[in-house]
Amino acid sequence: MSSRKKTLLKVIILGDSGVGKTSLMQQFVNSKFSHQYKATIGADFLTKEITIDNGKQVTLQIWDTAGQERFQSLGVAFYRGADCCVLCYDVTNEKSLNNLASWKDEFLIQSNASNPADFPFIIIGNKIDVDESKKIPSLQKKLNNITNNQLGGLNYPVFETSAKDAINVEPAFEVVAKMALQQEELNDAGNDVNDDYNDAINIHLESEGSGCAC
Amino acid sequence: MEPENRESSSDSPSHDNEVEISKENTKSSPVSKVLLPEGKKRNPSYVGDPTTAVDMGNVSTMSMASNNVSPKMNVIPAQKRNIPRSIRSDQDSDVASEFQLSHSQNGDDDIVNNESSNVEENVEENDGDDADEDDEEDLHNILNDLIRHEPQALYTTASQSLAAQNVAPTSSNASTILDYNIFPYNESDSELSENSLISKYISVSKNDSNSVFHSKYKQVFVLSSAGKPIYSLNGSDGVIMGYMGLITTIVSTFEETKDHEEIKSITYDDCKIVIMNRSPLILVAITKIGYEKMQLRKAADVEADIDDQSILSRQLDTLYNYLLSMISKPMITKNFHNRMNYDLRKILTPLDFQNLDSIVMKITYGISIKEPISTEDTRNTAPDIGFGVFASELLDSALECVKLTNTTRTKLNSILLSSKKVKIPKPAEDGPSAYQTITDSIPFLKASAASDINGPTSPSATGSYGDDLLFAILLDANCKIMSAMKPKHHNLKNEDLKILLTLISNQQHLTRHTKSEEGILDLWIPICMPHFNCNGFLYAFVKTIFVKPEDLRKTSSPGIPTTIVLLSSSKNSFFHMQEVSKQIEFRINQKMPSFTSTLYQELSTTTISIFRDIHVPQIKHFIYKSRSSNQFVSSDIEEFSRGNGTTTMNILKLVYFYSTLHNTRATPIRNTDSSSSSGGSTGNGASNGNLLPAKSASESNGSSSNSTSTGRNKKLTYIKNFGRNGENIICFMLCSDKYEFYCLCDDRTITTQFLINHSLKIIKWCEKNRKRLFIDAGAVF
Ligand SMILES: Nc1nc2c(ncn2[C@@H]2O[C@H](COP(=O)(O)OP(=O)(O)O)[C@@H](O)[C@H]2O)c(=O)[nH]1
Ligand SMILES: [Mg+2]
Repeated sequence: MSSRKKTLLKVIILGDSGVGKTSLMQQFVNSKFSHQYKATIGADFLTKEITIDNGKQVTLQIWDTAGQERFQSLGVAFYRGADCCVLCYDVTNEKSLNNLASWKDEFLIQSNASNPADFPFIIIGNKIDVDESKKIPSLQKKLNNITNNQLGGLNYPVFETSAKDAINVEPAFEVVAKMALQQEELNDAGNDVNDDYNDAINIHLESEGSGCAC
Repeated sequence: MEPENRESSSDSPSHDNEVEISKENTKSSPVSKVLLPEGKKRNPSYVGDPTTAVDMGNVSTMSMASNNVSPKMNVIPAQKRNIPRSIRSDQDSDVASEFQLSHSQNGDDDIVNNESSNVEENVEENDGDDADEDDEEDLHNILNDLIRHEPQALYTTASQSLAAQNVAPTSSNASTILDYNIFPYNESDSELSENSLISKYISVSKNDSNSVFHSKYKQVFVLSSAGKPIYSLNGSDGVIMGYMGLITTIVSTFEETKDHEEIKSITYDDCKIVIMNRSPLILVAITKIGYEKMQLRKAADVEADIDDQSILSRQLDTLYNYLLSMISKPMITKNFHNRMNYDLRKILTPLDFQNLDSIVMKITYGISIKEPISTEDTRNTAPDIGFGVFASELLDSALECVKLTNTTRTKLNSILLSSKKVKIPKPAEDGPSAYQTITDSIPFLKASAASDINGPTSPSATGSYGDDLLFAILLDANCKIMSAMKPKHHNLKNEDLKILLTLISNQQHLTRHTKSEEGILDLWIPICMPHFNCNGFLYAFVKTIFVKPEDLRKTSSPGIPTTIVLLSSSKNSFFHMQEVSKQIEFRINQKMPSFTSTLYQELSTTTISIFRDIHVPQIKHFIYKSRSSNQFVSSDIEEFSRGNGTTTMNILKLVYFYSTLHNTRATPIRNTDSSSSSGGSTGNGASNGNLLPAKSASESNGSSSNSTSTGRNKKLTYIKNFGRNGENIICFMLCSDKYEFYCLCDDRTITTQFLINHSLKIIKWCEKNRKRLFIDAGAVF
């Protein structure tokens, strides 16, 4: 059929302002890092093509938001039809870790995802390059609490990254791509596409009026 | 098609919400403010677009990110950025500024035309009808009056175009893309050749470079409501991706406002942007071309003169229709159901993308030109002429028919009828063995459909091959209609047919420029005809045959290509349709040798010649549209371009002249005989818009045409264009409730009297020859 076998996946990045979402995206797409702090206003959109290990080519369409805008300016268009959602926190900022659950909830409400339980999320803890002393005390324990919490726990793959030193950024996005693609294929399997062109029209040549039933 | 039926494709209010984003504000802060166009549109042709105030406060939070790949709106040439806002309304009237009224040239009227004697000799069609002569004199007086005393009814003169003329080099005499300011003028381009200009600004390019993308005059996007790109005329995914996010955000911001207002049109600096929301799809067109920024005017609305749609939104309708034809509404709905993340590109084929390119190019420029993808790839880059596609789009989906004698057309109709009725011989022993190989190489055939065709269904003893045949159409080499057949109770809308014809013509263009024998293949295309039945598919069998009379058989001449199109309601009827096509071919080529040679002769001269057929050499090109049948004819393009520039250049000019002529407000003519009742325009509405109007309608039209052959409720438009090299083109339109007539004349000394005289002469010729020029009800079974 189509020669355009590249699947396009919409990925959105959420998290508190300042955790390094824009930096992660810049590092992943353009292999750049800048210390200059510039709050993203509204949204940025970048794309990158990657090949995942089974040779499949995918295009990631990454939508970056600004945490402080708190959705109002973005609206449903931002969340609608996402294939994967990346939840980010800053390993030096405990509040950003505690906010992950509310980012996830907000996403599920706004995106109106059809089966929220199966929706692919991943968690990224960024800025692991910083001095150990600055990191959240007993981070691992707190993180476990959040991901294994019985009540709506965030039981998703976790990646610790540094956008600054390009640590673990690519692997994280590869997992994003794989998870999204898996979900996509599940959806496709659910939709029977075999009779796509089978809706022939029943024409009654003798009857009045056109064949239009719309 | 008639305007009354338009609501089927558009469920939105008929006026664009125009929003203007001031560029100063976007520059100084990331906040784009929305201003209502103020002091807007003094130009009469733009008056009357009700402007809805829209709060775009939320949109303003979109950033113009600094990254290369991110959305940027800086599609404005740098030197134009300093244009103070106060003259913005002049920019709006860019188009207008190129026209100059000829009232300053009234001297023309007194110049005795040397060629007039030639013209007077050809009066064989002037049957001395008193009414017509009155008509002519009336029209002449009105036109003169208009030119002398009512310049404000036409375009006012702006000094801009003259300034541009002075800047432009006048060294070469060749006609160029810069003539008449058809396109935005950029001083740095003056050194560029025609080819470089075209490839820089016009040619389709999927290049990965931002600057290549931004220099194009035209952009078209189709995307999903989630912001996933589906189609873009220019640019790679990387180049366009930022815009996808931007567009979805703007659209949904409007959706979320309290009134669920739909955004429709934005004017941003030199761009006009039109957005059409057909959830789950969004279609967007952006243009920098002056003639495309005009509102559509329907000559049809004699009294009201309503601007109900912009040119760009009509174009988006056409594209949406194409998508519906290829994949159908139910399939779109089904695929997006419960998953807004669906990537529609998965079910579109490379050919669909080529067809979309070609349709956009033809309805924009009348010609499709592509940049080669690689240096070896010269395959599909030959310009594909599609002036007919453009004209049909302009003229409300009117169809173009082949000029044939009534006898020949009637004969073709009866061939279609008798071929449908051919009985299946009793022991039907078809060998479906070769079948799979055929379908494998049919480019149109979707795989899923192919696997479902398992050869002929077991024929019932009494069946005919054509039992499932619904519509049959014969096309000439240029995809104009020669003859057609339809069931009694069903009609095909022109909008649907237009898509099918474009599809076939693109296919033929592609095969014509490839060496393989593909052109001979029979095609089997599942196609949804959204205006006929939006819920299912018909199956189009397409075969090209060559009309070749006996005396030519021994020669190497291939004959004249003719295309048979058979629309079937059954997906299993491929072999039966193939059989019907063989019957048609046999009857055309073999059964009656004398008919074959007649047809061959007639097909050799299907173009309408101003010199040969009508003898009005001062008119360089014309289009005549019969409103009752919604069909049009136009004269030979070669005669317009003869000896003056390339075909491409001349098509670009024709597109420009006819767009402005059609979309300029026309001057109504108040009839002295008080018959200007407004009812006239809707009288023919009932039968409009279908390929084959009911017989009664066309008959009643025929008889009424004897009383006043040129119809009532006339309107006219007269525009004089000044080219760079002192060349002038006069555009003239005359329409009534029966016809629309558009013509171009390059003789600057032509008097208004001759212009009217010649126009009426062509109109009468068309009326008189309507059976040769248009198809009536066709064959009906
Ligand atoms: N040390 C360090 N700083 C980072 C890292 N990623 C981002 N930053 C810094 O954190 C600040 C906020 O980053 P930004 O990407 O704008 O965050 P956003 O608001 O989530 O988009 C900037 O000053 C970045 O330079 C990282 O991996 N390591
Ligand atoms: Mg940011």
